Amino acid sequence: MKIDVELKNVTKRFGDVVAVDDLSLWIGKGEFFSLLGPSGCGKTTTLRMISGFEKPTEGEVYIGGELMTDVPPFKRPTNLVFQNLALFPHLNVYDNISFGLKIKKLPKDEIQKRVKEMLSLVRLSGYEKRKIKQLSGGEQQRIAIVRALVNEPTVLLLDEPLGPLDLKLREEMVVELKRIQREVGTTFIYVTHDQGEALTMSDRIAVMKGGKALQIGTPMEIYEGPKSGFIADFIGRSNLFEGSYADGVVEVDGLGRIIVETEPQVSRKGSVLVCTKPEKISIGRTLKGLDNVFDGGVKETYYQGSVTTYRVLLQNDSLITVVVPSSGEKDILGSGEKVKVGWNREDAKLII
Amino acid sequence: MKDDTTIRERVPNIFRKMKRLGYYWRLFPAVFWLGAFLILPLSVMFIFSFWTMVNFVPTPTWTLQNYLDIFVRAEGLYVKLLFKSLGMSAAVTLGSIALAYPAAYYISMRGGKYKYVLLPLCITPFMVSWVVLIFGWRMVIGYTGLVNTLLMNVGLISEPVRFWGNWMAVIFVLIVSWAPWLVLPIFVSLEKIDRTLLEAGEDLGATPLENFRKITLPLSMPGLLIATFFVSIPTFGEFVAPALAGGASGAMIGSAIESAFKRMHDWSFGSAMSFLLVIIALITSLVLIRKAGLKTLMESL
Repeated sequence: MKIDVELKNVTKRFGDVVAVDDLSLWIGKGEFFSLLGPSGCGKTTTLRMISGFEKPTEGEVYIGGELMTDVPPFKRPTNLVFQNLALFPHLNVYDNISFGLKIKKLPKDEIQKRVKEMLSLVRLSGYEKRKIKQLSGGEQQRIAIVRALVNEPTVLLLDEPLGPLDLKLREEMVVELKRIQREVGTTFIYVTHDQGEALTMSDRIAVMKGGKALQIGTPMEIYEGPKSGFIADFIGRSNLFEGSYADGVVEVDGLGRIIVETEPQVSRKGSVLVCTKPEKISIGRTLKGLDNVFDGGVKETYYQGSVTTYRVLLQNDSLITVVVPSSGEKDILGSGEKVKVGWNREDAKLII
Repeated sequence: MKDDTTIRERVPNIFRKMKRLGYYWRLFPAVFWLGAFLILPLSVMFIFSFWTMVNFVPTPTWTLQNYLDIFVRAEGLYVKLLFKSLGMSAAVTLGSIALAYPAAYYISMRGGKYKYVLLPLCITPFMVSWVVLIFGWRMVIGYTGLVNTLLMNVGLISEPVRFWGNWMAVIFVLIVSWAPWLVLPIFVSLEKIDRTLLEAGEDLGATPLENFRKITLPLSMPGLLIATFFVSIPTFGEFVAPALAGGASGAMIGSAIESAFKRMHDWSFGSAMSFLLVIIALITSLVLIRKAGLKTLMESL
């Protein structure tokens, strides 16, 4: 795979604060890559170093194979979709989209052609003369995206552009963004704190915390095989058990033995975490044929339409979350009921 | 039965009308203020401008001659003064904006934590009286002033240059005294510009200069219109600076009005000129308001 963006040992300090800490990563051509993490994890700073608005304290930034560390933003082959969109309020839709092309002094008919293409890409044909204030939030969003895309950047950077939208619109825009990316084939780097957005759209995700990339991988790799308790908890909910590992079994204090999938590289003995996703756990008054089965009592029941979420208290006083497809009324387990919960060994992931 | 319903409908209507009158009363302070301090003197002036002077006393013989006189008296001297005043007002407006804009820009964009130290500094010239300021400048650029003395001592000139006592001196003192005022409205309009817009411009390939031309300047237009409003209208009717710094060539229409009232005792002619001035100011205001929108103008204030 051809590499479009590469960060080599990049560190950014603001005074004493280390925003990005010795970060190295690469992003392939045409990839939809997400930087995912809680606020203050350094994801926006990383994006701003790629776009050129921040200069790394140490390390190098390569874009399209060229060293870009000292190149100002207006000379970089990147375009940024800003968190607050930053559409020019004094210009109409056409003048906003054509801003970059006019600066590059493209011929007028070429500019008109490209703006038209872009507007049809985001299904806003005929919006040329509209004022920015007359557009809805979702429309402004799409104009901001094509204002950047029309310049045919090597990399399109998106800084949480869906933040201000309401939930329904966000869900629509997530689908829309992925469609746009598939159609134009440009490399997208997407910054977000929303794991749902990142999982849905990304080819690969870098989970960041404290200025470091804790794990980089496909959504499935990260969801199914989190490398730390933090990631397991940040990407969807997880049930974590602490215990000591030996020979494919984890001994958890007060609960018993959890049989886990033995991986050949696991040789270390001692304290480990076992992670089981809520939807991998079965729950019922009786359970059969599972590797790990434990007794518990239902503490809370949340009927959420398509799924039902249970909070179950286990014998070691730990609460676990179980999500199952909603069944009929008679099968719903009420709080206080004695139940069994269980899961197979392949659904119990070891975090070392 | 039919009559009943109409009466029933009428009664609340009357109440509603009385209530609406009550609302109008709330405007009373504003109307009174305008009436006492603006409408009253202007009305007297308006009436006088159509009267005839008899033995230096305005007499109610109605005529349009005073307005005609502006265009014909003294071989069109007054029309020329009118146009000259318009030109000087435009020059002062442009000059003071050209001085104030860079200062406002610097404070807003580069001021950092010193923003609100630098801004009040701009207003300090107003602690000094306008007349003192003019004479201060006279000591600098006057016939025997600092600049002339220096230039003669250096040997660049053999006799003093007449910087003072002409129309250029009037424009100069008006520019340097207006410029600090204008920093404020321009600063306010620059402060309102979302800085990420400039980042967006840069991201789209604009150099800092292109950014200024395509984003900062158009978005600071409300401030510039306010500045124009502030300067052009009072300058148009200015008479102090021409009197103190202008000499013969520096006279403006304001000087003519002053002399019509004070020296010629021709109140009717003076009133006619004054009223024309008011109308020109009114038209300028309306054009500016149409251009900027009343709301943006008021917000910038």
